Amino acid sequence: MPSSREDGQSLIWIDRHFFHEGSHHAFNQLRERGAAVVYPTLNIGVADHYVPTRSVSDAAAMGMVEQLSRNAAAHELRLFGLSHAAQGIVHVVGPEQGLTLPGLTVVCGDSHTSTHGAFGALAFGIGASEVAHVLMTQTLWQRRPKRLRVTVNGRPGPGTGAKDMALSIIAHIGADGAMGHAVEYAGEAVRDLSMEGRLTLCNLAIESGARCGMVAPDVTTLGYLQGRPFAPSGEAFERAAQHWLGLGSDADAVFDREVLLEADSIAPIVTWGVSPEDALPITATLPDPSRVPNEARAAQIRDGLDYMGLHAGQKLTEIAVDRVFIGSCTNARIEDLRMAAAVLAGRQARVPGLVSPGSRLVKQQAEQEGLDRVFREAGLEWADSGCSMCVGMNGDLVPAGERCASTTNRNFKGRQGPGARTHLMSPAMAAAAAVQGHLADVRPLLEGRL
Amino acid sequence: MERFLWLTATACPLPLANVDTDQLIPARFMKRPRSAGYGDYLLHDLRAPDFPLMRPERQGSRILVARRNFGSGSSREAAVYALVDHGFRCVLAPSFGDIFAGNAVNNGLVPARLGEEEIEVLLAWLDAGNTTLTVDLEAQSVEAGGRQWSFAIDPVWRTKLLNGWSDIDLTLSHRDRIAAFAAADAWCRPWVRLS
Ligand code: SF4
Repeated sequence: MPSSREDGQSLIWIDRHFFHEGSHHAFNQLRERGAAVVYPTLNIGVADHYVPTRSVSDAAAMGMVEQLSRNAAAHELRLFGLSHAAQGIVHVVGPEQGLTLPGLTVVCGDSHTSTHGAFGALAFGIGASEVAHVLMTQTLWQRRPKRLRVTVNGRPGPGTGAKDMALSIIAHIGADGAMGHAVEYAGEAVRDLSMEGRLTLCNLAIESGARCGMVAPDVTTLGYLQGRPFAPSGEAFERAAQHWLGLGSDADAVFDREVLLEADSIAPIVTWGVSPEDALPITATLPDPSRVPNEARAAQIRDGLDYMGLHAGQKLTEIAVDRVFIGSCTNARIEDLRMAAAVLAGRQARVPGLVSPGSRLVKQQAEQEGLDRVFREAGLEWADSGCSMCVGMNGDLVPAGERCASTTNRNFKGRQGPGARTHLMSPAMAAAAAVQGHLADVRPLLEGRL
Repeated sequence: MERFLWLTATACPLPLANVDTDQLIPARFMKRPRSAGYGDYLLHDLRAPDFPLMRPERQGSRILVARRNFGSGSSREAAVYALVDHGFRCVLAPSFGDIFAGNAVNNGLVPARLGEEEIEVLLAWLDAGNTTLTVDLEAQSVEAGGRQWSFAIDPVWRTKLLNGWSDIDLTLSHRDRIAAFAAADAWCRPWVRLS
């Protein structure tokens, strides 16, 4: 920490800043000031939001990718661009490359930067003015956040995992429930998660209003990092590992708030409305706003049902879907693709769908394992890596009025395209929806397959 | 950055919770440079003819009143550009998306927090056809039709807004300290460095 002020603000050093096509406003601010990037090696570019993932190419979107290359070149910054073999979604590439390490401060002009907290890094999203500030100073003014610990005890049942845990937490505390807090995820169910699962969990921290989420580094973390291109190696790794294992909260650490969940009470979850907090177990029915006394909440339910074209009391499993999307920084890592493929193997999708791996390296690995064949044979499209239909900036859109079972993180109105209707769920649940043509419980489909 | 002291202006009610940044500015409009202006795209896809923002009595609004979790979602600062370019200087809501609120302050837009009940009273008062509110940042108060409430805002943000300060000049004055920190830190945590 280079400096602190009486008003409680500290100037914190930024170890890693990732930028992408959307960072153009910040580079323009630098240009206007005639400023330089002071610590160029710590600022790393990734092309993801606007990259084409299919043969269709959108000239305006490509212009954004080219603008990113020009900005990176102008300041001589490292870039995982379209011509890089390890290109992918920024929150997949950082961890995969070993650029994200425990204890680092990581920022990016993207709210899902919370993902990197899975390594015990302090990672959060920032706006364009802050991106410019980081480029020019490699620091940010921050206030110490309040601390919230979310403990998930026990073991989740088969067919439920990190995504179901994350959506349950959001439904439980609300989309603004963790506002102003840094969240630490703890408990047996969290410890048992692979790095992929922890990345999914921390990815969704922002959807509960937290700016960052974290899991304490442990042997799982070290195992993942060993041999990554930008992680230290040999003796340097051992020294770093010792430091990293000491980063966890003390046993008697005090939190401003505690939330407790039992993993075995978590069923596969889907969202039905237009906020991630509108999440229910797949076995549930839709809420009835006329029975909700709080007028603001009732209005929100009415608005959600209306936009989604649903009605009160409807069973979730009766909701037919028009397409599925498996992808995004939430759920497009190799384990996610394996889970979806486990459901789809030997089965046919009743609706069209798109599978976009989180990075080119994930794509390569999936192809080595033959997962691409499973997706193709089921009738789904196997695309290139990028943000794709998570936000539709590259032209991969859900048509207006259509309903999409999606492994992404936001079911906001119009998120996947104007008028698009999004139901969030895990990769296994999206695969189940593809096979059944409607929202469905994946558990029976996984019997004998895990 | 323009300073904010107090403002008496037309207010627009937006009786919605979780107005996320994807709604404030849909993704497809974010390719343009800032200088091209974002105001026309504010809440673009919600603009039905009876949408509050479109009503004649709400034209020229500079204060927005909304329900909880306003500005949740993505970090896109363009959501703030859209509000500011449309003429807004203050949003009143029970809670704000954290990144949004920081972005707002960096663009001279006041994110003022009022309790859920007070917001409901204000929304009803505006819905009854009333239009003019006063927001006083120095006093941290809102005044409407003879009633007054005090709102909450981070004290550091309040100071920045009252003075029109941006962080960058202050930080640049710490340049030497930052360089000293970076050099010392590289010894303690060599794995941070990249070549
Ligand atoms: S995949 Fe979606 S949520 Fe993730 S960085 Fe891309 S647009 Fe954002």
